[in-house]
Amino acid sequence: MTGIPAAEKGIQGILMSGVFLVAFVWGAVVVSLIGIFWRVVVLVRQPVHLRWELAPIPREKSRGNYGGSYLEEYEWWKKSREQSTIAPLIYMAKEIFLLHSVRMHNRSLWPFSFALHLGIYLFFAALFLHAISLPFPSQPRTAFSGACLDIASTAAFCSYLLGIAGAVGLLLKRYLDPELSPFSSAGAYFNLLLLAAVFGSGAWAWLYSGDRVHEADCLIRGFVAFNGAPGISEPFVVHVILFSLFCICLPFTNMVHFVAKYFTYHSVMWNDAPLDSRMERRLNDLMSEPVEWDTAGPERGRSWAEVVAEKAGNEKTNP
Amino acid sequence: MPKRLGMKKRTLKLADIARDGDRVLTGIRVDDLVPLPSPYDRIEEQPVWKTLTDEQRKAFVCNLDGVVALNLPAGRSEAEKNKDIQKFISGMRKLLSRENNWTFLQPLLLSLDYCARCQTCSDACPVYVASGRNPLYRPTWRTEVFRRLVGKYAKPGGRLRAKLGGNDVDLNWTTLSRLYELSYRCTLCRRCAQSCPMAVDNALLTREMRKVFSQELGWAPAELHAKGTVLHLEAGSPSGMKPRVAKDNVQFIDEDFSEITGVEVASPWDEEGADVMLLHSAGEMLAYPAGLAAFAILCGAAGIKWTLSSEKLGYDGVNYGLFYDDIQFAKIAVRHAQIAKKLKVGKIVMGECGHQHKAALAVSDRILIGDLSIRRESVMAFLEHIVFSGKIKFDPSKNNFPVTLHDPCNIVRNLGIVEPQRRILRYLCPQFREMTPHGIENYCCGGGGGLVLMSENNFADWRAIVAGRLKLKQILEAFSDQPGPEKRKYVCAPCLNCKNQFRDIFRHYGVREKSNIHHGGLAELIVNAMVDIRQPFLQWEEH
Repeated sequence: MTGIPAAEKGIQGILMSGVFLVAFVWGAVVVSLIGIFWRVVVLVRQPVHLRWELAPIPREKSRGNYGGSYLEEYEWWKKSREQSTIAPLIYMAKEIFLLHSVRMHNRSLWPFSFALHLGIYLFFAALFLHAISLPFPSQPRTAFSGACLDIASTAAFCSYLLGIAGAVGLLLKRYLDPELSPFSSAGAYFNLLLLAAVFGSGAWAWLYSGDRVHEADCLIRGFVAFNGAPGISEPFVVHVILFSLFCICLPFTNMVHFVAKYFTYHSVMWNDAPLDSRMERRLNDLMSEPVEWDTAGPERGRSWAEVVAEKAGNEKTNP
Repeated sequence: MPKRLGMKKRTLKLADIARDGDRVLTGIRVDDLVPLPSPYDRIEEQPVWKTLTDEQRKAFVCNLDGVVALNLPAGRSEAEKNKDIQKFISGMRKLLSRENNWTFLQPLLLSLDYCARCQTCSDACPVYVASGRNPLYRPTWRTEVFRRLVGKYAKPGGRLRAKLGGNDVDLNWTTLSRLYELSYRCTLCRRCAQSCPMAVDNALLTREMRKVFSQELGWAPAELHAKGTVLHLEAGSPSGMKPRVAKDNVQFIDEDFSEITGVEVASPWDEEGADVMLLHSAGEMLAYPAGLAAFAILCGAAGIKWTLSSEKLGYDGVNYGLFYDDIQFAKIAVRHAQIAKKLKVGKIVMGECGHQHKAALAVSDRILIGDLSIRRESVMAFLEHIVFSGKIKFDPSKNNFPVTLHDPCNIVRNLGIVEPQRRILRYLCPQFREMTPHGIENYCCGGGGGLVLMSENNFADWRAIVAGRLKLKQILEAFSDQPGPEKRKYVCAPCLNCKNQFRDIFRHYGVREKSNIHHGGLAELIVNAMVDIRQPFLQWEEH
């Protein structure tokens, strides 16, 4: 089956008249990037907080493997802290790519969650392979770009199968498992349905298309060149639209949790950085913030520094 | 023992927290609890679990699980209830504000906004598992309720979003009173955060709830606040012990142990310029005096220039603010640093107290800035240095009895101080064995998060039977090769609160009598192995 000329079909014709689809896809990507950037900015701009680390901190050289820290050292301030760069990367790679914690602590969820996440990773790997083949001519393909596109096509199909299995599996588990259903919001079901639709439409497009490698290549080249996607099949259009919807929703739903993962680990769990002059300046500013808590004392609005230094006797007691 | 405290529900909807406020939300069935090894497995032989009296039911709000820890007075007027609700809303808003909650704002937002609700953390929680997976104690249940309350009542457009998203958790007096009590069914051990793929921290959220109650409504357990931090700041110690009494107590301990050991035990006070200021918990003086004497013997034998402080707060290294209130926490941390600065000591060494370790070594690190900055060290590293310094001769055969090690959550999981205490025990205790799991994956003693200080009504029973259950199980399993009372066995628990929890659990089940298991600190074991101490230092007495 080959692609259908854009102008020949109703809805497809309208959507693929060029401008609309390209604008929609790029608009979705821009919304997604801005939304994710905004999420990151919100987290980055939070004030320095009190230390709340949690073992294991894998960057501790020779101790990270059992969860030890520099505080095990006698007069630790006299010793240089030996830190590993590679250990945290390995730790995070296991978490991100293998969902290690879920596998260890939630075995029944892991197959579905792993399938969904692997599906997402493979999908973006396929996009990446398409991207790196762009500098090379579409026809005739070079050996390199041909290999990239062939691998991308296979990766995409695997991603669709895994994504469907993962999203549908999680959807059913969320609904049927009494451990999960009380905590599952409408938003959680929507996210999984959307993901299932994205992967489902992708699988449909892949199976429907005659020359799927070429069609996918044309599609991406068309979007990059801002000239639409002439000649692509209806399932591909549906897939593109659903993927664009996913991009739009991503920053505003819990699907964006990957953004937080860096901060929960590096800013909280692994943040045992001792004081330095820059941090001390920031902390001095924070200690001069007014405290409005009701039990802060008789003169609310005094600074943290003042409240903390006050003499005993102003504390409220129980009702 | 009663078979149940109320009826346990298999599933519990989040919205249930706001409903039927005159009834218990869910009960605890003894049959559901994780079984203990023999001879603690026969329910009919287990001690009676106190049920609430009619007077207690009348006097206090009792609508959670048949257990009352907090003595929240019943019979508040509608006007008072409405005022409480409004204050809770304003408290949640303050939690989200930079000026009022910079101390934990980023960790709070991360844990509020990014939980995947996957329940991966549930089976990491010793309270939830021990209870037979009672849905009320699931680590995510209380935090999801709180998350939805914050979303609905403290964030802009929250009510509309709640309507669209199906968030049906309502904030009323029933919600408030249950959430208050429920925030003290968590030991803040943070096993849940450790297992979470997103590192979402339910313990942190629970502590943030406690903060709203304390810092905005003025609600906190009397044992932590009025008889805790307030008394600490006013009198010098939550025990009410004033400086003069503290000095007298230590002098008495010194004299007593000089007589027992035959070596001079002398604790110096207020030595300006000492290398080390030892910051013990004053509770040790009352309940575990051998621990204090052991430190004096070790420091003396190792030739360390050390001191205790007799200034208010300086002789009591606890900080209950860590459990429920940032302001109280910061006040105590600052006072401890000021005292050490005034004495011009080289460093503060924390005594065998888990939460003080965490409070002083990590959490207060970003409060003790400028002139308050002072070097602080763990007692584990300090003791390891003494033991392996070569200045003291040891005979490990004096410790030739089964020993296992409890890992206090605040020292091990929260600070990563894992090996120094183990290196000591492997060297000095020939029959040392580990519990399963241990190290950073240990189980909490069941008294963490300040719970051990609370024993009102029937809460001590809950602590022993539910919260400390997995700990007791793993202690018994560690000694499963010699389970009977024929051989004395020792649980080394280098934390005052953990020791107090073991005291309560062991008494509750008669563990000393049935299994001959005793508990104590690390310093006592070290001194017991000293060649120069002729008589056995360990007295094996009940604390």
